Amino acid sequence: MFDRIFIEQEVKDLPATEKILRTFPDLPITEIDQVDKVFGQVKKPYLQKRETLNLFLGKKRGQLVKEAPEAYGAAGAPHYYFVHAYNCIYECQYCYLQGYFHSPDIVLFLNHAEIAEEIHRVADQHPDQTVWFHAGEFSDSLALSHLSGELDFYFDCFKKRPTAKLELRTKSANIRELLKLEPAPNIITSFSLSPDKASKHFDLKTPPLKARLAAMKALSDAGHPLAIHLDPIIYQPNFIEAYDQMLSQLTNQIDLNRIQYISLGVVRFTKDVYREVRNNYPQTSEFRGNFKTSFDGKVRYDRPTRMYILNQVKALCSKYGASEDQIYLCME
Amino acid sequence: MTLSLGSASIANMITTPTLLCFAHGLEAKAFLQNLDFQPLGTEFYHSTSKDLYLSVTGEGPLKALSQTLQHLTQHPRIRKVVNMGLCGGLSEGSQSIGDILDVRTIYSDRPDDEQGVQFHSFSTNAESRVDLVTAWRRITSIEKAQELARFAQLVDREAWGHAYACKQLSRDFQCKKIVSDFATNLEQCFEVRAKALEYSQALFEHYFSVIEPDFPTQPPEFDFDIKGFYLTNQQLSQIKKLLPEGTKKASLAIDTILLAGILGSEEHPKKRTQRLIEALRQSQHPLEDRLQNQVNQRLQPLTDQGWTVTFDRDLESPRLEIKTSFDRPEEVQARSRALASFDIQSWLRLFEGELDV
Repeated sequence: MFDRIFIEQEVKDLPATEKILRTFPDLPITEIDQVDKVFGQVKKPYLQKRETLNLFLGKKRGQLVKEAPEAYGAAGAPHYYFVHAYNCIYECQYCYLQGYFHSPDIVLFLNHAEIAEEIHRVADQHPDQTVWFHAGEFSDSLALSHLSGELDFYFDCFKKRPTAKLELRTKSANIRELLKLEPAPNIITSFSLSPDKASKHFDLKTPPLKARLAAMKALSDAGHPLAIHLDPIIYQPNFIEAYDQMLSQLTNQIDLNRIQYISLGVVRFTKDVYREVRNNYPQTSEFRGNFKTSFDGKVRYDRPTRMYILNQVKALCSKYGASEDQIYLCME
Repeated sequence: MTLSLGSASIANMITTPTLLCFAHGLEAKAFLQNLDFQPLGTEFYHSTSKDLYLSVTGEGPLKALSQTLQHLTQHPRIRKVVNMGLCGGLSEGSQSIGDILDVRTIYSDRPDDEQGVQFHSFSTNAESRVDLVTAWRRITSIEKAQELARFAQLVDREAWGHAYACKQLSRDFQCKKIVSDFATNLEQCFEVRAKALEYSQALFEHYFSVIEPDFPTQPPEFDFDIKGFYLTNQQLSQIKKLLPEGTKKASLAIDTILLAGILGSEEHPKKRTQRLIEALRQSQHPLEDRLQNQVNQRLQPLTDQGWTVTFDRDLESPRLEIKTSFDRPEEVQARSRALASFDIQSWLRLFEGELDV
């Protein structure tokens, strides 16, 4: 999986570091002062992740918890995200990480205690509100959880803070670690889903839809709260039939009433990411033409097309039993 | 390894004007000895029969950059640059002395003694896992070698400069290096000079047996190879954009049923071309096409009566601006009626996603 491991001196003696190193006993290790003295210092081509990927272990510095952008989550509550990793082992063609960092290498931050402290401090600022904290803004929350081993830590943190909610966003089916933990009503695992064909086409190296649905079923049976992101929806001529089929497959396994919320979003890019996407995936015709710079400077379909797509998928969710207040539109 | 390097057989193979770049004359020696290079300038040669250029740029990324830029601007017909030469390994074990390696990505350290490397890197098309960092100064300490080893396995003194020039002038770039020593073993560099000729011969043999056993021609330009159409250059460019990227022959990328429908018509070849472009656009972006029809339909009651309607072409905002001018009283009445009966709600609903598709 990895070619080399870079370790910040400050974290080299942590039990989490030792556990990770035991997983890769043969990999060359380089000690460094700080992750950002090496990571992202050069433009490492994104698609090199297919052949060579380095792993960085370090300490997250700077702002540990950040306010989420508007319309990031369900309306009416403050939303924050915290960063405990950079980058992802999957290769989704639309992924904004390809234009965000200048390296596809994986970074795992191990100073979870400091991050948790900051989560509590931020939550304290909203004593009368349910505050949302999202993990997985710059990484997949579960894909490497067997390696990074932080889930039990954040479960403890949020169990002590029942008025705050934690969302673990994933495209993974790696639920082994999660199933070891006692479910908590305020810790929600949210799965990003796309129809099977679209997923195979756009979400390279991710588990197939079937595996994700099976993972959802196992978590649901174990009592873990779930949510769904139908995001990003990418227009293809048969998208209505494809989403219909996918929701049918989903509801054959899980009742939509048991899903805490369903977010819908249409594919969108910053200008930089759009340029990278066109450069990295020139053969993907779905990302050519038909995109415009929209109200917030992001590159999207025009508004009638976006709303048409969202209306259609929303209607399908209703057809399969979702209620109006379960659904929200992301970044619209 | 012995190779038959008959000039006639090599001459027949080379079709892409290529510039070979070396830092030192010794590295280039086998090429200069075995091929019919004639000087074009200082340390710059051309093999007429093989259409191959060779430059000895001198050591360091600045010299590599300036020499390559100069050659490429003076000889714009050169389409490809291959940098060959010696390099150092940055960590013993992964490579061996004498290995000839294809370089994937080229980094550079900082010219100002600061730690780390420069942000900009350049990638080749090599299917390799080997990266290289170009050092602005000779590596004289193990610490410096270890620092650079964080970013790449190899180190040289020029590749980044060549790659930079090629990027600026949109030329293909390839980088092949032979490992001559390890930067972690500073003693070895004294042996390199003694072996330079041997390395040059190895690079020469490698070049004609592995890199360019069959010099590729320039990839063919897009070819609209279907009869029955008349195309302007602009239309050719439109069609090219509507076909999958990298399409070389239109006939291989256009649906035969669609094509048969258009070719079966009695239309003039110019008209057919327009229909083909429309059909390709529709098949690429069916929703966009329908949306455009709906925009036109909804505004038609105004435009038919002589109103000029301006709207946000990106369709992000529903704002409309309409204007008109009158010559006769009946025009005023007709346009007023059209405006009064204009279905603004239908227009607004379009922006809420109500597309009748």
